[in-house]
Amino acid sequence: MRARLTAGLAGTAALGLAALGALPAGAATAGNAQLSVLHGVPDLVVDVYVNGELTLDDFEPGDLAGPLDLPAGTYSVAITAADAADASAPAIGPVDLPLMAGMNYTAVAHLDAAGAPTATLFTNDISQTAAGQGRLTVRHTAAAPAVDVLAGGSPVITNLSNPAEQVLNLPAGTVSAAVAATGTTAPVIGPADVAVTEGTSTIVYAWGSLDAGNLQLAVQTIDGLHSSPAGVPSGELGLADTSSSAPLLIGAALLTAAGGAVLLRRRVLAPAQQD
Amino acid sequence: MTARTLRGTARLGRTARLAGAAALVLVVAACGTAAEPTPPPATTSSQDTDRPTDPPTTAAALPEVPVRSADLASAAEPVGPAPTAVSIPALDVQLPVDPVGVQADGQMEIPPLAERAGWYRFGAAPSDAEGTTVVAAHVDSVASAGLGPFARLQELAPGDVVDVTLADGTVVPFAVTSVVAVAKSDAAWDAVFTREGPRRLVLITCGGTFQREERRYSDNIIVTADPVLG
Repeated sequence: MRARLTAGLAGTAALGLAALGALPAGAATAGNAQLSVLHGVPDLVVDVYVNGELTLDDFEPGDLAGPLDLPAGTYSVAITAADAADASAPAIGPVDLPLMAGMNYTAVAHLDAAGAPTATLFTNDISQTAAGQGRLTVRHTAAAPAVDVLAGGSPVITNLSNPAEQVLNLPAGTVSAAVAATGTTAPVIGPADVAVTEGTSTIVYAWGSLDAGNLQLAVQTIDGLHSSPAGVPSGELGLADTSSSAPLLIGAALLTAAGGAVLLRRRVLAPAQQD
Repeated sequence: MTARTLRGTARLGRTARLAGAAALVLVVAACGTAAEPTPPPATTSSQDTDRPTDPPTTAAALPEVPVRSADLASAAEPVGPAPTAVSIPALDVQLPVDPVGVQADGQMEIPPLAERAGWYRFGAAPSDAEGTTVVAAHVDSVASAGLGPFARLQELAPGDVVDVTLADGTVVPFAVTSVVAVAKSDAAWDAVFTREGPRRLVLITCGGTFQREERRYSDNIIVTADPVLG
């Protein structure tokens, strides 16, 4: 009876706690989209105009802006040289970014495979991760041919070409990652340690130019995607059983349990180790 | 021995009555926190004040966009010191604490010895500003061939202190706010393993009846404790 009662109350408490919990970090507020912007064009400081308004001033290569919480809709983005007076002569764009409510995006200014400046809108996977796991996404935004991604020297992603991505769900930990021309194992980037954090989407961008010798990695993280363990299995013998048959059960369990544990009634005495 | 038996029995009765009330306290606390208005994020906008003679323009409405370097080092997350021991003076109980993760079946990993507790290392640490530090131990285990210290968790009462020692040597005190038994099928783990919201400590073990076929208990005993201020 007590268990049932308290279980019911705990359920109510759980609802209360859930209600006051903020939205997951990666989720936009209702009706809005989240947008981050990554600058992946080497050697070019830029200004970013959104719908004709200067939004990012003197945006440096390798920098990540956002996330911006924006009402759903289509946004026109133009990227100009840093000293431009307005968005009338963009270096990239203008491009239309259709942003849907509840989604999470990253717009990347980068080089295409041939080395020309371009922009790509990626949709970020912000679904929950399994307990104990993180999500690793690799995006090819570099002026380079198709690549393989090596983890610990072995290919885990093959034939990834600009501007494609691949998503891996992995146990949390650190991955020694390297990028090599597809079909080879000689790194053109790395190896570098990439943290795959539990409950977090870690997005790694290969950017720069193979010909210019400035290939490198950029990383973006979206946290708050974790889920809880499925349970807490914290008993194995039945010695703490509260049912009426407990004494018999306890006797049997103690007889089977090795090592001279003293016959103790449940909860009445501390375990032998405590005395 | 007899005296300890009587005292233990008396405490058990009190705990049984308190459990319901403690759960209510948890509900009230949750609602109370929900009612508090969230303070608006602090904004810093010094650009316009540098040029007070400029008339306000629509450009001033530009959103402030956080910009940071996206290099690999930027992804490293600061992690508070891990808990290394839990001490419950009211029960004369002390356990070393090991960092643990997730079993292959998706359940929380628990140290085999019932005399050791596990801290869910993917959740909050005791020094974090927000979230729940979850520490669990077997009520009994094969490796220990008997009951462990957490068999006495149900004896805890609101106000009892739980001291958590951290890897850097500091001790963080918490005070028990509730002791509840929850059927495993009803457990709302998302509300326990929180990483945002109030900073708190949760101790977990098993209880209820033992289901011999499945070799598991029917319930989890969940002790919730809040930081002791000052």
